[in-house]
Amino acid sequence: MNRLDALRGTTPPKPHDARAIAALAANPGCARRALLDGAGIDKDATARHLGFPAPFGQSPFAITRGNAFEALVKADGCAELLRMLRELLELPVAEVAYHDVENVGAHLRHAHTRALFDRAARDEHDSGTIYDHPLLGLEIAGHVAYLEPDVVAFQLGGRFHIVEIKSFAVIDGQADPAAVAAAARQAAVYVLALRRMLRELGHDPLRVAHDVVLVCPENFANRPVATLVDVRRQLAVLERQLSRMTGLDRLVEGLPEELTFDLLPGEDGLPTRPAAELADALRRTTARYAPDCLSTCDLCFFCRDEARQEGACDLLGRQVRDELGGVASVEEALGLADGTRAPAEGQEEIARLLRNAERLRRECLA
Amino acid sequence: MRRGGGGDGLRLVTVREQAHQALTLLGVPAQPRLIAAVREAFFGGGLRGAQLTSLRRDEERSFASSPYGRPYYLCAALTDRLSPARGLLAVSTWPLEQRMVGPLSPRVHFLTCAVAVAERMTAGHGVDAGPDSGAARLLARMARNIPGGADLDIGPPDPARVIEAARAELAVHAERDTRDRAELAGRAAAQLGDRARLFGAATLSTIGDRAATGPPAI
Amino acid sequence: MSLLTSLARLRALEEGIAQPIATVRHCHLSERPMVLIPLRMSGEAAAPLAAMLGTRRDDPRLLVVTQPRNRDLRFAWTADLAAELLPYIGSFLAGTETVERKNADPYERVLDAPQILVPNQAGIAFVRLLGRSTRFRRADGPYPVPETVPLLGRWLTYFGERAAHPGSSLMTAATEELGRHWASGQSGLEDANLAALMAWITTGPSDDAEDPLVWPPAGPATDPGFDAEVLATAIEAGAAERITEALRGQLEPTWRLMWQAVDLLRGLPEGASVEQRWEQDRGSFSAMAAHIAEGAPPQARRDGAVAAASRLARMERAQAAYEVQRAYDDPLVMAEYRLTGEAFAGEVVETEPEHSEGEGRSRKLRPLVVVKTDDPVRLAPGTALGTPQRRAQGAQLVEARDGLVTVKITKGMGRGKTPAPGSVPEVGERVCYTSLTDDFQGSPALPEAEATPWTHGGPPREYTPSDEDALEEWS
Ligand code: SF4
Repeated sequence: MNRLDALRGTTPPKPHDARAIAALAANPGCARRALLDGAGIDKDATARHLGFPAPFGQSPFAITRGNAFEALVKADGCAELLRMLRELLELPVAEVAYHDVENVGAHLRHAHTRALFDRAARDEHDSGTIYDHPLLGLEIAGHVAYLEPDVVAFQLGGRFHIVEIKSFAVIDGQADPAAVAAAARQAAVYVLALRRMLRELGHDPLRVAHDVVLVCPENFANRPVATLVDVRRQLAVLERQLSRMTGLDRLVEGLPEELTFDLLPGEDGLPTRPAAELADALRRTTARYAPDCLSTCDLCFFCRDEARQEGACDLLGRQVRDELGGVASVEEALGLADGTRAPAEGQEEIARLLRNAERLRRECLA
Repeated sequence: MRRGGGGDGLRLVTVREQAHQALTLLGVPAQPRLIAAVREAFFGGGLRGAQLTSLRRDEERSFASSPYGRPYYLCAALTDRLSPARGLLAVSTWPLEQRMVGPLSPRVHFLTCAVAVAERMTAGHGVDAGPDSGAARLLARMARNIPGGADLDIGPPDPARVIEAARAELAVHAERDTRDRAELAGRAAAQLGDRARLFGAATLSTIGDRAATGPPAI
Repeated sequence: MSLLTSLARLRALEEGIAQPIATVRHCHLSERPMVLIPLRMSGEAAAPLAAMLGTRRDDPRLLVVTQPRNRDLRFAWTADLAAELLPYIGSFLAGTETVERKNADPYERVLDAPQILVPNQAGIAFVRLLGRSTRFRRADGPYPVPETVPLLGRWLTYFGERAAHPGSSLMTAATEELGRHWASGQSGLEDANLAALMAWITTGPSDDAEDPLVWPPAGPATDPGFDAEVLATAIEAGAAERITEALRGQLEPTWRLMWQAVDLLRGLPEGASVEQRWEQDRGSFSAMAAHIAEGAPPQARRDGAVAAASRLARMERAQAAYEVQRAYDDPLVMAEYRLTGEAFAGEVVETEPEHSEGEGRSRKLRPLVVVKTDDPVRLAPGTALGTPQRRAQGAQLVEARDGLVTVKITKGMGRGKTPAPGSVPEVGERVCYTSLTDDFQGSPALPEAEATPWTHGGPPREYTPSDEDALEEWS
C-alpha cells in the first residue's frame, strides 16, 4: 500500500470537489493539510470525531435559492444564459446548440464529457454549444477528483468558456469581493481541469479561456447578469499548489512508519478509533494555523486549540505574527517585552521595540 | 394548499390533463416549469411544476401494465442517444420527430413556445392580457431572450413583434434541426420497441467511446 | 495594527482578559442611541427577516417578516421599520442653531443628532443595502409602497454611507468601537463576533461565544442550523407566532450585549475631539435633512466620477484628521507614534522663554524648551511640531541628542516681547511633541466641507430616478 493510502487506512477516501481543491491553495504552507488532502482524508469527519466540528453550515434557504437561480438561468435550453453569452462573447445567432450532459448516467458522464469535448475540439461543426453539467476529472496526488462545472460554453473560433452560476447578488455593478474571489478560485479549478483534459486529448489547452463567465442575480431581483472574470492569478496559485502536492513524498518520508489517521470505521461506518489517539497522530504533523483557517479548513478548531495550548502568536493573525518578526510564542514575546528573557541572536531589534512598547504602555496606563 | 384540480365549481381536471392541454398549446416538449407557467397564463393557475416531476414515471408504469390503454400518454422526449431527455415532457400522439431532441432543439423548442404563447395572446381566448397578467409576464420573460424580441426591459411586450423575432431566429436553425431530428426519429423507429420509443432507452454507451477509453495520462 | 496593539493582544492572551488600548472614548455616544439589530433572510441580498430595535434597553421592538418569500410582507416590514426610525430621526430636527460661515450663507444645524448602533460591520452593510433596495420605490404607480418606505430608504442609504466616513458616529458598529478601545487575545477576524469580543472584555474568553445555541449570531446572517431546524419548519407550517418567538430568541441575547457594549463605552471619558467630530456629524445630518425637505431626488445608484473622486478625497482628509485627533486626545494612542519616533514625551528640564531670533524690526520671540525623554526620536531638525498640551501652539525641532530634545516654539505664545503666561511649559512639566499635525491648529472655525454632503466639494449628483428604478423587481 502506498504511504498516503496508509495514512487514510480503511476509511474510504473523500473525493475533492472544486471548492475543496480551491481551498488547497488557501494555506499552502501547512503540511498537515497537504498530507490529509493528499491522502484523500475526510477532514470534516476527522474534525467531528476529534470533537472539533467545523463551523461551516449552509442554510437550507441559501441552498434552495441557489438551486432556483441556477434552474432559472438554465430554463428553456439555457435561454437566459444564451442571451447573456450573446452579449458578452458576441455569440452569433446561429450558435445555440445545447447538450445536457446529465442526460447520461452518472457513471458515464465523465467519459461522455471527454468524448463530447474531443469532438468539439476537432470539429468546428460543434461550435456554439452549451454543455450543461459536464463532468471533469483532475488528479490530485494520485486520486482523481471529479468536478462538475455548471456550464461549459464552446464558442465559434474554438474557445471553451467555463460558466459559473452563483446566487450572490451584483448590486449596481458591485458584488461582495470575498464571494467573487471564492467564485474565481473555484472557476480556476474547472479551467485547469478542462485544460488538462484537452491536453490529454491532444488539443491545445489554451483553448480554454482564462476569462470565466460569472452569472449572478442583478440587484434585488432574480434577473441574471453575466460578467467576465479573469482567473489567471488564481490559476497560477492553484498550479503551484498542485505541483507541491506531488512533492508529498518528502513530507511522508519524515513521518513515523506506523502513523495513520485512519478513523477505523465500524460496520455502521462510524469511527471506532479513540479520538485522543487520532489527535496524537495528527499532532505528529506540522500545522500552520492562521485565523484564515477558520473560513477555509475543516480542521480549524482543532488546530486553533492546538495553537492555544502551545501559546502560539499565530492565534492573533498574520499581521501580529509579522509584526513580531519571528518571535513565535506568546511567552517568548512577553518575556522579551518584560526584559525577563534575553533576546536570541537576530532578536535584538524586536526585543528593543517590545521593551519600548511595554514601557510606553505602562507609562500611559499608570 | 390547493390541489391539482381547477376547483371552484369547475370540472375537476387532473394533473395529466392540465399538462396535456398546455403541451398541446405549445406543440413541443417542455419542462414542468414552463408547463405550469402556461397553465397559469391561459387556463388559470393551480398547477405547480413539482406536481409534474413524477408524472412521466406514472405514465410509463401505466403503459407497461396495459400498453396503449389510454388515448394519450405524457411521455419522454428522446436525446441523440435515444435516452429520455432530463426534465422534458412530451405527448405520445405526436409524430416521433416532434419528440426528438437534437443539439439545436432546445432553442427551437423555446422559440416555438414563444410563438405559441404570443399567438395565443393575440387570439384572445378570453385571456386577460393586461400588462400585469400571467400571460404578459410569461411573454415578457421569453421576449427578453430573443434577439429583437423586445426593446426595453420594461413595459409589456408586443406579441406580433415577438412572433416575428422568434420566426426570424427559427429560420436560422430550422433546417439543421429538422434534419437532426428526422435522423434521430429514423434511428428510434428502427432500434426501439414500443415502450422505449415513448419513454426512452436506458443509457448504455456514450458517443465516440474511442476518445473516452484509456487511463488519463497526467 | 501597531506593535503596541499587538503587545496588548499578547498580554490579553496571557492574562485571559482584554487589555485597554485607549484611555478615552473616541466616539460620540448619544444619550438616546437607537440600537438596531437586523437579520437577513439567508441566500438573499437584502431581504429582511427581522429586526430588534429601540432606544431603551427595557423596551425592544421586534419586527418580523413572518413569510419571508412574500414581498408584500417585506414592504410592510420596511414600513414598520420606518414607523420606528423616522420619528426617531425626526425628533432631532426641531432644535437647531445658526452657523455662520465665511464666504457662504449661514445654515441651520441641529443641536443633537440621531445615532444608530448596529452589532457589526455586516450590519452596516445590510442597512446600506436595505436603503438601496427601498429608496427608489414609489408610493404611486404599478407597485406602490407606503410613502415612508422610500423616505426610510434614503435615510438608511445616508446612514450607511456616512458610516464609512472616518470618525463619524451617526451609525457605528459595536464590534468596531469596542475593538478600537480594547485588544482581545484573539484575531481581528474573530473580533467581528460580538459575543466573543464582549466575553474577552468582560469575563474572559469563552467558547460559548461561538456556539450558536448559546450565543446566536449577532446578524445579519442567521445560524444555518437555526434556519434548518427551527425557521424552515416554522415557515413551512405557516406558524407566524412560532416564527416570531423563534426570532425573538435569536435576537434577545444580542440585544443585551449591545446595551452592555454601550455601558462599557460610556464608562470611558470622552476624548477632547469627539465633540468636534460630532459637530460635523450634526452638520452633515442637518444638510441631509434639508436636502430631503427641498424635495431633492434620492441618492444616485452610483457616484459620478467627479463625485466619487471628491468623496474619496474627503474621506482621506477625514481619516488623517481622525488619526491625529485620536493621538492628541489619548496618550495611549500617541504612544504608537512615540514608539516609531514620530513623537516624544518627557519632562521639561530647561527653558529659555525669552529667546528670540533676528534683529530690529524682524526680531521674533522664539522660546526654547529642552525635554528629557526616553523615547527614540526620529525627527530631523527643522521638523514642525505640535503638542497635545497646547493645541494652538506651533513648534520646531532644533536638536535631539542623548535623550535631550530642544524645541523652539514658533506659534501660540503671544505677540509681546515675553511669552504669554502659561504658553511656555515650565521646568518639571511633562510634555509631548509630535510631527503629527491637524487642521485644528490652523483655523478651527473652518467650515467642514462635508457639512453639505453633496452640494459642497463636488457638483451635485445629477440624477433623475427612472421608472425602471421604481419598478425594479424585489423578489
Ligand atoms: S486548520 Fe489546521 S490543517 Fe487546516 S490549514 Fe489550518 S493549520 Fe492546516
